[in-house]
This record gives sequence, C-alpha cells and structure tokens, in this order.
Amino acid sequence: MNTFIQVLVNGILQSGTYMITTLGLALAVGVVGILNLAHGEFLMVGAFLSIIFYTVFGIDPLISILIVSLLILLLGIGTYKISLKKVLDSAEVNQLLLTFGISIILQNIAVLYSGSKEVMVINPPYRDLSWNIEGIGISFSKTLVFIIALILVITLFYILNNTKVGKSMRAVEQNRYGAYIVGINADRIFKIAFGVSVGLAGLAGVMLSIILYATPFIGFNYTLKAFAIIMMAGMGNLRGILWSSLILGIIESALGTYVPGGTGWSEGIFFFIILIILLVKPEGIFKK
Amino acid sequence: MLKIENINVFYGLVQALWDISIEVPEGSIVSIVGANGAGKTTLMRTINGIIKPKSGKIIYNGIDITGKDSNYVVSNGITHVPEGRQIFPKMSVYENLEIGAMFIKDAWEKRKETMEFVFSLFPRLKERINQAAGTMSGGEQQMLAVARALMGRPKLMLVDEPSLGLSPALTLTVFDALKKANKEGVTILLVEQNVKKSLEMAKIGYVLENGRIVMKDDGKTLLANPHIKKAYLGV
Ligand SMILES: Nc1ncnc2c1ncn2[C@@H]1O[C@H](COP(=O)(O)OP(=O)(O)OP(=O)(O)O)[C@@H](O)[C@H]1O
Ligand SMILES: [Mg+2]
Repeated sequence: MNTFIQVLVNGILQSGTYMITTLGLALAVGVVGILNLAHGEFLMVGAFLSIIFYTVFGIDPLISILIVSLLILLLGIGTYKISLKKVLDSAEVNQLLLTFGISIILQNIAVLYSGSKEVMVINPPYRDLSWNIEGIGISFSKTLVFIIALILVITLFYILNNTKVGKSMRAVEQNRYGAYIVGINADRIFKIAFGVSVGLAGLAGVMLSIILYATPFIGFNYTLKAFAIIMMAGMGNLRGILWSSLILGIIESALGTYVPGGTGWSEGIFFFIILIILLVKPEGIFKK
Repeated sequence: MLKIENINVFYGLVQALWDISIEVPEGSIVSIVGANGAGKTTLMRTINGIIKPKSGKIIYNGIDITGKDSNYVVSNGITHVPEGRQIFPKMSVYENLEIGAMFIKDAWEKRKETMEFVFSLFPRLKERINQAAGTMSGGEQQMLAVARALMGRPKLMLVDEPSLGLSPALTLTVFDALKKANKEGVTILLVEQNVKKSLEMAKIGYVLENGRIVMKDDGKTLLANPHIKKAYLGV
C-alpha cells in the first residue's frame, strides 16, 4: 500500500515538471498559434541564468526567479520584434525554421559560456530537503515546482478567460481578420503572448535548476515533450495540460517502481503513449 | 462626418480603387451599390485601416485617419460589419458581443446597457447567449456580426452586405435593426447587393463600377435612374 501511495506522490510531483515546462509553449502554440521550436532553449537559458546568479552572485534561485523570468520575457519580446514578427504572416514552416535557428544560437551561446564543463548543478540548501509522512517521502523542491506550476496554470487560465488581453489572445488565434475588425492590436497581442510564453519557459528553467541539472543541450528534449503534451491535451486546452501531465507523471513513476529497469524506458513510454493518443484521438483526449 | 478624397488603392500592382471621393454626412445612411468585384469591400477595408491607400485622404470628424491602423480607427468610433461575418467561432455569443465593445472606451463602460439594446433588436441572440458562435446558423452569425458592431456604440458603422445568405424575413430584421440604430444616431455607410432596399433607405447613393464612382445622387433618384434599373434591378 505504501509503495502505491509513494508511486502516486512521485507521479503527481513529476507532473509538476511537465506542467511547468509545457505551460509557456501552450500559450504560444495552443493559444496564439506561434510554433516555437526554441522553447526548450529559452528554458535552458533560464536554468543557466539561475545557476550563474547562484554561483557568481550568491543569489538564491527562489529570489532570482523573478529577475530571470523578466529578463527572458524581454529577450522574447526582442526576439519577436526583430525576427518572429516578420514571418508570422507567411507559411508556418518559416516559423519553424526561424525558431529552430534561434534554438541553435541560444545553444551555442550557452556552450561558449559553459565551455568544457559537462553539467552545471547547484546545491541550494533545500535541494535535498524532504518530508517523511508515515513512511512516504515527499521532496520539498519538487513540491514547490508542483505548486508553482499549478498556480501558473490556474492564473493563465483565469487571464485567458477573464481579461481583455487574454480574450484578445484567443480572438487573434480564432480569427485574425475578425480581431482587426474589432480593433485589437494584433501585433501587440502576439508580442505580449510570445514574451510571456518564453518568460514562462525561463521561469521553468529556474525551477528545474533546483531539482535537476543543466547543459547547453537540455532544451530540445523539453521542447519535444512540451509539444507532445500539448497535442495530447488538445490545442489551446490548458485544463488538458493539467490532466495530461498528471497521467504521464503517474505512469512514469509506476513504471519506474513496478517494472524492473522501468526508469530506463520512461522516455520511450512517454512518446509511446503520445503516439497511441495521436492515432486514436488526433484532436487530443481532453478536447471538449 | 466622413470625407474620402481621391483615394487610390492597389493590391500589389493591380489597382482596385481609382480616385474615389465619397462624403458621409453625420446621421445619414449612405449606400454604395456596385457589381461583384467593383471594389466595395476594398473601400470598406480601406476606411477601416486594414488596407492602406496609395494616395488620397480619409478625413473623419476633422481628423486625418489615412493610413492609420484599424485599432486606431475602431477606437475612434468606427465599427465594421465585415463581409463574411468574421465572428470568433469558439467564443460564446456573449463574449463576441463583449469584444465588440472592448476597445472603445465609452462603449466598454456602457456595455451592459448596449447589450440590452442589441438584444431588443435581435432577441434570438439573447436566447443563444452561451452558445459557441461557430455553432450557430449562418443567419444567426450574421445577426451577431451586426450586433457586435453595434456593441461599439459606433459613431460611424461600415456595413458590408449584411443580407448575404439571409432569408427574406431575416433580411427584414437586419435592415430594421440598421434603421433603428440610425435613429439612435449611428451614421451608416452601407454596401448591399440588395440594391432596391439599400437605395430606398439611403439618403445618398453612390454607384461603384470597376473601382470608379460613376454616379452619385440621393437614393430615390438613383432608384428611378434608367441605367440603375437596367443594370442592378433587372427591370
Ligand atoms: N486580397 C486581394 N488581393 C488581390 N486582389 C484582390 C484582393 N481582394 C480583392 N481583390 C480584387 O479587387 C477587386 C475588388 O474586390 P472587392 O472585394 O472589393 O469587390 P466587391 O465589390 O466587394 O465584390 P463583391 O460584391 O463580390 O463582394 C476585385 O477585382 C478583386 O478580385
Ligand atoms: Mg464585397
């Protein structure tokens, strides 16, 4: 019984990582329709900045998180203005090429910085902190990631459905021409959405720097997984992201515990589940 | 209220509007009639700021809005019932209406009141207030497009073929709504394929042919004109 609860707890906490790394991309891809292949690299830059702030200036990630998110949000707005803006009206493959290019540039910059260091890890005092409740271990930092992810999903959901800027984002995606007709400044909306999207990626990077490690090459895997979760959830469906992350997290955790050598397959299983879902229900399982 | 002076509009290298001048007096209904491809929609989009004219001027209440972006034009009280409705399909009727008022300061403050007004014009929309707009019938969507434009409490409303695809009964409802809005003080620039109806209710009519204005007169006079009768009324 205890093992089962532990599996559940680990799975739920793992889902926090999926949520937090996917949320930003869900805003760009699912809500306003920008295909950003550099999502994971913005995340990686966030993790790097967090590590730099900690090792060079001694600033804790939980404090630098605000500065880093803001910096990456501005980086996103800059990226939008000088490049992305120009390709939004052309074929989608141009967005893919452009953002792929950006991902390589960010990777190279990170390589220049990290040089020969293989992986970068930081050890804030709470890194390995965990509670033990009735024999169930609960990691503090993973709980923190989960709670922040949950708050962000709910906040974004609220903003999209209840504020002018959120409704404008949905309007722009549903009917660009209609958006112009009612007086929406579509350019401004894309700029904000993309800025917030990569800002959230940066924030995710900081959180991951607490529980995992960073190299210049961690980005692509996150981009791929985030795209997969968005497909599973159904485009533009934030609630679906929550459920999808939970399902994937719990399956992954169960596999690691109950199947000998199961952790080794977790990546494979992740994409296997996604593949099955795409075959059976291509519009996403949580699409209303 | 609106004064268009000698505008020329191009799609790439192809000229769509030639030296167009039009005047819309405050409080009036002005109709533009013309065959398919004459350039009516192009004219509406140019006023709205979606297309920029190559030359000429558009003056609205004394301010030059030539080449301004649509969000600027809309925020100044010009709303648009576009060709093809262009509603937001995944939003509810309520949200579509709300968004029609969202970017015009005065309209946003009075949105509750305005919504009562548009529901009095189109009770059907009130019945479907929570339905996703994309799942409504074509006629209902057209009513929504008109209602959304009214939600902006426009000073000037650009109306592009509101009766397209509507049954005769619904056409009447929509035209009645336009007349009522006009009585409430909304100036209307109307483009219609239903030439008879639109010239009947218009103070002034313009005839647009191949991107050029070929005639201008008051609505009733144009209706009696032999060329109009032959070309547009099939008499
Ligand atoms: N986006 C575009 N690119 C190139 N040419 C265009 C474009 N839109 C319209 N045109 C051309 O401009 C001319 C005027 O088109 P417009 O849509 O303004 O006509 P219209 O009077 O509204 O016709 P209808 O009654 O069929 O709606 C047409 O010859 C059309 O082919
Ligand atoms: Mg037209």
